[in-house]
Amino acid sequence: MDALLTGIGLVLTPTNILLISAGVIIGILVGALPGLSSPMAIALLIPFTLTLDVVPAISMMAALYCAGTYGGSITAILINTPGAPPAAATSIDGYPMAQRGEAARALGLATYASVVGGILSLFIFLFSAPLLARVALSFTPAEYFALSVFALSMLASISGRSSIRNLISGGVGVLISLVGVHLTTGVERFTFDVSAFTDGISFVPVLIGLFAIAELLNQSMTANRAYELVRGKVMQLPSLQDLKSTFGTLMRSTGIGTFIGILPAEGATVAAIMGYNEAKRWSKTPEKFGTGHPEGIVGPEAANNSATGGAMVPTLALGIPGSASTALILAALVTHGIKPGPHLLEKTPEFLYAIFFSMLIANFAFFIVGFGGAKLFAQVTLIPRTFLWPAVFVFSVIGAYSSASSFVDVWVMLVAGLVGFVMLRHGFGPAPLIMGLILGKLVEETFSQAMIIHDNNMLVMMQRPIVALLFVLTAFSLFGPAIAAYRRRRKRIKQLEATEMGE
Amino acid sequence: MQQTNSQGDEPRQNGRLIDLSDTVVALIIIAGCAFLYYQTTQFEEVSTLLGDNVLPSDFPRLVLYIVGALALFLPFEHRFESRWKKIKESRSERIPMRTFATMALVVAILAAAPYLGTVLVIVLSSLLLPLLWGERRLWLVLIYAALFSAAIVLLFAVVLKVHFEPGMFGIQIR
Repeated sequence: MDALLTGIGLVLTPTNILLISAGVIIGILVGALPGLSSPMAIALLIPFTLTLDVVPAISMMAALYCAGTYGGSITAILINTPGAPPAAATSIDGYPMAQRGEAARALGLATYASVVGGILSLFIFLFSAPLLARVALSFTPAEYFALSVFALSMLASISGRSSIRNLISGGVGVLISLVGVHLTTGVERFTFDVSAFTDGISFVPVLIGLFAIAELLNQSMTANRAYELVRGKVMQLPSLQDLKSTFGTLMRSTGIGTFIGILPAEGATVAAIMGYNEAKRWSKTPEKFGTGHPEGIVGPEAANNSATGGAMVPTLALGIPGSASTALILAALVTHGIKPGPHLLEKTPEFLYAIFFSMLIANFAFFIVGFGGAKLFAQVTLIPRTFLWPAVFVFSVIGAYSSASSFVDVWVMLVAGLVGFVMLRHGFGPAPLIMGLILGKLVEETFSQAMIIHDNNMLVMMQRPIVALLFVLTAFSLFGPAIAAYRRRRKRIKQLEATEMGE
Repeated sequence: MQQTNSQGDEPRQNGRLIDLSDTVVALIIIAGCAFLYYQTTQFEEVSTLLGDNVLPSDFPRLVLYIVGALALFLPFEHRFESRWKKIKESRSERIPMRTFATMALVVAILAAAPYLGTVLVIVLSSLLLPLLWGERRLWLVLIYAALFSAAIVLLFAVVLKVHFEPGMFGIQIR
């Protein structure tokens, strides 16, 4: 109870409320603007929050994360261009509804689903994170190693363009995390005689480069694109009929989204796609999907916002990020000198409550801000890209520079951006690389410790039940999707052959 | 920009065994792995006391093996990955001159940054990038450059106390 009150006290300060509100407004703006994303905004925010205490800093980022996931739905509905990937599925039904003159209804449904999904998932986060942390307290390095390998293997199934490329990106991220002095032996690795790399490559410039500079170059390819807004009245609250007809979808998608969020590496995009598919599968009127069906908006929106609460569970309880945005929040925690994991929640439970209340406030705030100003936020898409992206560049340079007042970091950012741009063109996404970068040190440390404990014998390590289970799950996450796809393909070929035979 | 739920259930009709572009990508990755593997052979030797532990080169090598092995699948990926079409699309999109010019400009600005100082870097970026991206309303660019730069300097140098490099012109903001 003391921890709960302390947590509330930490959050309910004027400065914190102001920062959370700022996080919500920035989040909705970047969520609404195509090209800008929550991970990018969090990456740019990290250096500027270094002067703040850890609770206000993380509260602001968590608020931005929640609001950014919601913000994408505004442009998905009004201009058929999801401001962020998690809102992609929302546009399938949101835009047709807006086109037939019901933009206000579509925005209302998206906001209601986002808020309810987000809040319910936060309560699951509040109760499940300490439970998971309690289990994790008994983990030895072997379990942690198996868990982090499992998290990396999940990169094979996160959204992107290819499982193999996601895994390669993750591997490259792990390799970048190994630059610097090896802690156990003091040997320098991959520093190429650059003294600034002795302590390793800082997260911040790499994150900014991959998310901001790579996207800047990507956007330069379509600098003249303009968007057309669907006009209409401001947002309206969902009718009782809409609430009734979408209640089942809302609950189902919230469950799906929270579960997907809890899985390491899986994020809001996968949750939204699954939320949409399941809404359609369970619907009494699946044929109406794609024509502006309310369930087609509620399904993905409840799922993607509930993934935000879910993703915080492994991030805080285990120190394993649940999504790209939480990987950045994890990086911010590390930059602030905090080591997330079971010991953090055991020793400072008020931290958990503070994050919970920050995200709760953020959900209520974007409900109010969303209802009041969705149309206004949609207007930001009218800002000419010729002014928007130069501003992103300036923020990136200052962000990379200010983290250590070093131009080496600015160059690291630039190289990461150029490499990220080339990688993006060839289907290698930035999110898996970030996951690898964040988890790399943990994997190596726990691998080394586990090998010492188990006499350098992996087989002895595998005799531990949780380790064995996690390795089975790793194998399943690596090969499961490929096997399932192969079986589906065989089935379809057989169906095609049967049809041809029949003809 | 819409995402689809592609689960790899489209039967492959592509007749070619390997994709040339992906083969080049795979070769670049494998060459990178080989280079880094060579680097691991150059790591300092550790004391015999620590010899029984996992050596500094062990884990990087393990990761390099995995990345290299995964890269071997890339030339054949078009035969089993249904999302591969999107990779082909994004790769075949022509990179306009503007993108190369943007790369050149940001490299040039950052190369000159220690001499120009942070304030001039901000001013130049907000002046030249909009022009490069096709903004023709010069008056608007000038207003933007002046106001945006002033706001950034005020926020970061004055409020957040970020140290701005003075450069050779000695522009210092306190």
